[in-house]
Amino acid sequence: MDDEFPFSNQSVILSEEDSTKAEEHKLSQQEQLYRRWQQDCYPSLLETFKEKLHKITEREDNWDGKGSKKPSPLVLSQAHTTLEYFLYSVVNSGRLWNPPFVSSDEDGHITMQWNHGDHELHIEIGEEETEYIKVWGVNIEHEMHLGILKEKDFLNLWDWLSE
Amino acid sequence: MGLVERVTQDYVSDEEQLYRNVRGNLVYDEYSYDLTTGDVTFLPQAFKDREKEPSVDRAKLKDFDPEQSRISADNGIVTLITQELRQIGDVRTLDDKGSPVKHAVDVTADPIPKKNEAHARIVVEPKVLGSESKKKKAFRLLRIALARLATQRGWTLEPRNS
Repeated sequence: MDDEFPFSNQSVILSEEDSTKAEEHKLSQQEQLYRRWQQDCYPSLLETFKEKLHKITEREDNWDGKGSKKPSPLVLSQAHTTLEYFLYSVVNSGRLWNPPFVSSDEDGHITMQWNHGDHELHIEIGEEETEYIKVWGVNIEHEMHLGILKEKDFLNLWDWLSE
Repeated sequence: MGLVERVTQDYVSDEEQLYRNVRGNLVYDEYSYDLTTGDVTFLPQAFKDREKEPSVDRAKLKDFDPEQSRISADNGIVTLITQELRQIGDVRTLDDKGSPVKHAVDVTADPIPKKNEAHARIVVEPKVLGSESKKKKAFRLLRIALARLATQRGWTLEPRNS
């Protein structure tokens, strides 16, 4: 990646003005790469989500043989909106996106799980609310935290996951 | 078998290994593989249970042969250690009066005569009472912890046909 940026591996001594120009050039190249990524990758990431949600749409009651309900159209619609918002927020803020594992649970809620090192982030989308669970160990009392997810909190959770 | 022998055999000691079937068919979303590292991650779905008491087999009563626990060729087997389950910590809920109640995670023997003498269940004691949503919330955290423990060890036996 660095090879695409001029000056990145050079030990040439630059004047202050040159350094600023170089920095601006580097930034503008990064910006261009980011925009290109946004244009090329964002739609395909979104499409991957849609495909996964579409597969979940096809589930019937007891799809897993353990009595799980199929997700309702309302939950699916909310999951679609929420996922799109998450993806957009992360990509638009310049953070690196990491696709979640998407499924549905026994109540027909849509579940998402991200793993990064010791950190796990679980999100469960129901008809009335969306909950999150932060996990950093197996101890339920001291290494898990459950809360109601508000849109404005998502990037904070994302940053925690990426730590 | 005498009462003392029965009680002794029914107590699941801390060092006991436990086998759990995980369905290999990816349609059930019980595990996934990291495409870059190839590492397996077990998902909370692998510990779903209608009674909220996931079934396991006591390895020592299966001659430490996980193959004997495999319900179908499509399934894989993961191993859990009883002590680690007991160290998951307390699940906290509120009773009807709003007072906090602690529920400890435990493993209890639950032999099925003539079918599976090694059968045991992962339970919380005392049982979570009250609303269904309270029970589900407690069970959800337990499943996350179980999946994490299973992931630390990986497959004991991989599914044959996945």
